[in-house]
Amino acid sequence: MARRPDEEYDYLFKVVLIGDSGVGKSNLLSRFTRNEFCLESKSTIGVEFATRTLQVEGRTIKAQIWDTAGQERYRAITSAYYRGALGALLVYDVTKPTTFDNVSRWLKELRDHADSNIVIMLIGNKTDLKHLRAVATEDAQSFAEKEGLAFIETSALEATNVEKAFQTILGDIYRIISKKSLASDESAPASIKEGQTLVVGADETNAKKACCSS
Amino acid sequence: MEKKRVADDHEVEPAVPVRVDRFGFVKQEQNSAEGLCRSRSASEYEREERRIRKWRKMIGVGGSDWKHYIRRKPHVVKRRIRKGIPDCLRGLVWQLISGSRDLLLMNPGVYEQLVIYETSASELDIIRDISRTFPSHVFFRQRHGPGQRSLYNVLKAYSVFDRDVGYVQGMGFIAGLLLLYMSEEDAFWLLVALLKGAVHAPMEGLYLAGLPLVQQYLYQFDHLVKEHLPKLGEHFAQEMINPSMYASQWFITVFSYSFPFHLAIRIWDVFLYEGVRIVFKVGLALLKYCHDDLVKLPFEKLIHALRNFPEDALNPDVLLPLAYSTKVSKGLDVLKQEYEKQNGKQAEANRKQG
Repeated sequence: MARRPDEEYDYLFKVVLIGDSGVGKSNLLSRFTRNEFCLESKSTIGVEFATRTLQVEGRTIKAQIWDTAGQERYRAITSAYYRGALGALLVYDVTKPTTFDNVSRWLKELRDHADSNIVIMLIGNKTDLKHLRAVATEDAQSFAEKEGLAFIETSALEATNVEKAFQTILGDIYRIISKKSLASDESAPASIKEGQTLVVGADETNAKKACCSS
Repeated sequence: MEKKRVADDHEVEPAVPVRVDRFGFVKQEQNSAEGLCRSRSASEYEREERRIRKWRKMIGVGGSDWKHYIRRKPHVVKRRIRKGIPDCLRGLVWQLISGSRDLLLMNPGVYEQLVIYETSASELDIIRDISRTFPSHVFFRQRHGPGQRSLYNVLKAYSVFDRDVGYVQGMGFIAGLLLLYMSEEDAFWLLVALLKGAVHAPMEGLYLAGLPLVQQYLYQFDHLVKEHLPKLGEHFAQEMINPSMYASQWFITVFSYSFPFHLAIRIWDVFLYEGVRIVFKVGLALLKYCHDDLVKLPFEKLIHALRNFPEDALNPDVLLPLAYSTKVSKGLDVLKQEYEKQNGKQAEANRKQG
């Protein structure tokens, strides 16, 4: 596929934002993609979508992020978007213990509907509400270690760690992909060349653009 | 009407005077010109007055002549509704055409009972979303203000009234829209009339476990796009765009979630009288109007365009005539049967599971 001059990237990674309703998924997305935070935001109905192209480990990576409605009943629609995602940002609210308790249910949801090798990052959001914190960093940290997830705490409002969270997960995905590419290079050395657009994560949204699917 | 509410409400953020449009939404740059207070010419004003007089005659005092009139001249009613119900009569007419007025009269005291005495498993879910429903409207933006309290009461009452549905995100926008035109109790019964199907087919499937009706509508819409706009349908297929990416909220909130308010209420006029068909028609009309732009766009720009239609496309006097001229009834029936055939067993299983 020919690269459009305004859309140059080495990799296109699809990532989903999941977690209970009201934990701040949409604001994490708007902070990351537009550096905006909306105090008067509406609840998400169905799915939303945004992209941002950034440098990760010296590569230009385009993150295609699907933001999903958090309420349980919406999973009937949103779980279709897990397919083909290379990463999932699983968000809870550090001031609401139930949203942390539900993380296990979200993990099950991912195991049921997402690709088995999806990279998952646990995010404790709303750290700006210090006086209301109800989930200890250590508890989440040890849970993440036990489950083999990356973990970070963020504040979409104060823009704390948001960039880092996305950088980290995109970097993790990149390392896995490049390892894989390296392995497949041995058998088909001509398949990936420097400067060629590589789209990973063949799925319904970008399968047709894929010249190398995972 | 909303202006009066603001005046009654002494607690509205006194320090920062908010400027609102004629529907009570806080003015922002992106608010369309139509919603902003524009001065009407004398002839426009007179025409509006004539229209209101006609409507008053048609419905009678408090709606007393309505049923008689609608039996005698259903086509006149249909035509007038399609031109838009006068705003000052909208609340009353909505109750008459939706059948909610009858439900209210048949069930005295029921709403009060639901609000005061019952508890709902959805209370926390409802509270969480209250401030996230029409946050830019003066009636709803004040924390714990009368708007938020009414919205909470209606949603809680419904979640108790129909525990299978309970509360689902999206219902708030419908309840909110209704509350701008009627009392809590009236809004509650209109919600009941819609979801339980007082006049048209029940719409509770939009919110039941598995969202079965959303899935059906999206299936139908997908096929209607292919049928009515084959070139665009093919482009969507190529770009891997499906209606769940852009149209679920059209159905789940009947255009009340993200469309300009002055357009949403015009759609609601027709929706309550003619049923859900108008949602399909408006959806198709939007795509038709923007067709030549949309067929050129790649995936990401398409998604963006499908969520940000240009202002001229959202002008009710342009969009609605285009929608009226789109015929979908037959297609909808056939597609519904087709969908049920394909998904009948699965849907049944989902329902039991849910």
